[in-house]
Amino acid sequence: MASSAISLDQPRTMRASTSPAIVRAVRSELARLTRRTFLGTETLIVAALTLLATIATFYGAANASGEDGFGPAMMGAVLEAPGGIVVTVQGAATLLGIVVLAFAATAVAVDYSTGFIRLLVQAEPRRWRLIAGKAMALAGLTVGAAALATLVGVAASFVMAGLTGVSTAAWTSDLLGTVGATFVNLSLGLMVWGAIGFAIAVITRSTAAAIAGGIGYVLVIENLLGLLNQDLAQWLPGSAITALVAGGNATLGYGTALGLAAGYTLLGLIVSLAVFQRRDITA
Amino acid sequence: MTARAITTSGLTRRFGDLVAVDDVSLEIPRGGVIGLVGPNGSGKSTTIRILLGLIRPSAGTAEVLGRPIADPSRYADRVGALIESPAFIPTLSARRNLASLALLRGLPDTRVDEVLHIVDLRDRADDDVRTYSHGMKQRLGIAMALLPDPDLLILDEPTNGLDPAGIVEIRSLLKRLAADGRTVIVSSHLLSELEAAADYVVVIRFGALLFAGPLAELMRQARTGVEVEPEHPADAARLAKLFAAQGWASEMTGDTLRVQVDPERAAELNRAAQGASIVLRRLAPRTQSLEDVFLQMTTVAATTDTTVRKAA
Repeated sequence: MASSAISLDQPRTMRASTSPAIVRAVRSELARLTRRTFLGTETLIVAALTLLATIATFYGAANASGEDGFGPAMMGAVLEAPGGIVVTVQGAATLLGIVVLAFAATAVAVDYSTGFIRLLVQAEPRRWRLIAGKAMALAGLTVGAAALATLVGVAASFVMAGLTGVSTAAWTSDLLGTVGATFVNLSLGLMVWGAIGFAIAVITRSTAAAIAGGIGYVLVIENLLGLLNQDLAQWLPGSAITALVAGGNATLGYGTALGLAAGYTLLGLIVSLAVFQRRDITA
Repeated sequence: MTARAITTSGLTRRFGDLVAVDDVSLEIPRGGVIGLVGPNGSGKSTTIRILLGLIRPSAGTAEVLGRPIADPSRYADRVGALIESPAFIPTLSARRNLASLALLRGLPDTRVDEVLHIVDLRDRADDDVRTYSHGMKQRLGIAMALLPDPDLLILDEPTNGLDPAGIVEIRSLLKRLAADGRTVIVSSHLLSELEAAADYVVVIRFGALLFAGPLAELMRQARTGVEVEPEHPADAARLAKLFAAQGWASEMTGDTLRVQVDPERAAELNRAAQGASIVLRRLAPRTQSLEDVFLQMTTVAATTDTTVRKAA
């Protein structure tokens, strides 16, 4: 214990870090987010979902009846195309997005449920730094999740292709480019999901409400809106993310999807910041 | 350096119709242990949260260590607090919980070890906090408050859940910190604890300030008297009449009379009893404790409030 009180006007000799405050905020977040119960669970779920999606896609292609016009020949053709190696990763994107949304929501809400948020705001009263630090730390974990999903998906696709007789000859023509683009697009898509979970959790301060709200919106409300108005549906977050991860699709070009995704992410962060800046910390 | 740790002027916070903090103006000097006293729901925690920048006031101004609460970043690294209950991530160890805050505050890792040592948690520092006892969690909460080596330490019920030895240790720690020139604000319902440790007391009820000043000044409001117990309980009523005839007011609790006279006059009471052939089993001076004064003060305030409300 220091032996005397320190004047407000004296520099504190104890302060060792010369890092910018925002870097300190990111590192502080990472110290909590990389706990094994959080990071370990996310890693397991991302890997397991990607693996399951890959197995299901290859076995589904091998066993499809063809009655729906999407039989073995057509699905086999999709899988054997140069982009076939990442089809399963792209197919799992929505499920992975829900996982990222849930973990982003949990990361925010747990600070409220434990009361840790009051310690954070005491330590760093400039609240925008806390929001930015958490967003950056979560973005880092999201890129890690996308990398893991891409790796698992690609590796499992090679194994499943061998098991189900799918030719991989075309996959290697631009392997790095295809896989790299999918990784980048998946990362961006998952970040939008994360931003949605982040914003809902800041507003509701509840993990359950944030997850239910996020998933409920994407799986139910957006589909209902799509049924009511097809033109509107293509501009909504779920459609934009799907198009982005696929590198653009029939309804939305890649550039438009990217712009929409960036807009939704920015909107989520602005809403989070506005709410967090103004709200009392009563947790 | 300002001579005051905290200054508030007309500080008010409303939650809808509820006035949690009601026009509180006070000055708390720097240095020493300050007791913050008030019944549950009296506005202590809301006041603390306002001072820490967690809640914005509806009206009024305040300064902490001479800096306005409108910009808590100007004093955040000088203030540590434990509010209501310890906050932590249960699936992290004490060390990582502390490290997370130390990183945010830009403090070195060695400070984490120092505070773990101060609160005697080093042996369990790497275990998940969810495995801790209530008292250990309380120690962790205190460690978190001590982390920035604060000039102003605010602790809400710091001895909650601690065993008697732990309570003595914390009391000793608070006194050491105050002796170092720090200001330690302690909110506690254990008034005997505050009586033993506090130099200055702030009493709040229904969000309004009832008293702020040195403990000695508050205790001057403590009534003194003498407790008298006759050998035969049947004599108690006769004794009360006898004292009343002498002009000494008393109140009877069971077989014991509390006579409102200066304890210096105990011999006169004894002589009066002997004159009436009443033998006393016990004759003891009695001074009200802080708890008695607090109850008296808050009861008077409550009665006044009720009267005012009825009149309105």
